[in-house]
Amino acid sequence: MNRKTSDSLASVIFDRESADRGEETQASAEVAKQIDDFSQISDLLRVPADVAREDPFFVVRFRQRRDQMLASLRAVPPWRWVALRLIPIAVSAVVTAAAVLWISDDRIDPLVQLERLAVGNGVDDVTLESTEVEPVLRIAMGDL
Amino acid sequence: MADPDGVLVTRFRGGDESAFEALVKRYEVPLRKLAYGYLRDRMLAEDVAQESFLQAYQRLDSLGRVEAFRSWLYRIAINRAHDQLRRKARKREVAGEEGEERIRQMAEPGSPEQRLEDRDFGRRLGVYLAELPEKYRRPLVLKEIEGMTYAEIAEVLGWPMGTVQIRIHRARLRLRARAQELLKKGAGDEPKDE
Repeated sequence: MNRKTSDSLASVIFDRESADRGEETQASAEVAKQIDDFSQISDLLRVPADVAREDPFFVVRFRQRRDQMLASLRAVPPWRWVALRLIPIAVSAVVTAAAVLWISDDRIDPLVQLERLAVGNGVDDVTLESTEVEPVLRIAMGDL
Repeated sequence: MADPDGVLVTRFRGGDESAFEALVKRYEVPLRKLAYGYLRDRMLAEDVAQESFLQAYQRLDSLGRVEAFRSWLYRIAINRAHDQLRRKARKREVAGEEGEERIRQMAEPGSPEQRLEDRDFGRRLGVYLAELPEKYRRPLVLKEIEGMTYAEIAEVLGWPMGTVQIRIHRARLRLRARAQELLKKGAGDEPKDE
């Protein structure tokens, strides 16, 4: 007897799955009690007779549901069929575009940060300062 | 002798609609029983069986070996029943159980008191069965409700036979422990969620 069988001996005997008929007679009192309890549980779990009875209208109801299903599949216009298949592609395109934008923003950010670090107070100040700088080139051109 | 399922599947694939209806007739009761074993509800069991056949009808082309039709169909039904059970648990649907009870009482012999006691106990045990972890419930339902052998269950679930054997046993031990708790508490208390 392997370990699995000895662990589940009561079930193996109860289910008549044991190859060794001697196991049943050698079963301990505890195993015998388990078998008795399993038998009661099995009785209580038994499916009611009407559920286990063939229903002549089951196949009729199946036919109706199948026909409804097929009709609804046929009723879908071709443009809707195409649209339904295009939706995932459109969604993936939008997601890809958003991801690309996000990644490209990420690439710019370090540059902006570097600029801010170098100048001190931020880009706005840099712009302001740059407009106040004397237009050296124009003066030089005037001298000529 | 040729496998009847295989013959019917091949005929259906060849365009014979009546062959699929023959499969429906052949598996109507097993599928309804299986779904009932999961859900303990006649209406839902009927619905699960019907939906399983519709799914099989639509996807029969994806079935590889025609001889495996039975296992394939059972897997569809188990998954459907499992989904339904989850929905039921989510919505805390208890509607229908009282009606179920009355139908069962009318259908069974014995004194009304005895029937009530047995059925109440059986219903609670059904609730405990539904609460079992999936790995225990699946093989136990196939064993108790469908009467399959360990080898057949192993084929349907794709598990080794030793695993099937030990899980069925553990499922029973768990149910037995809950039944003993119930007996100690008496039949007055409602089962509580864990």
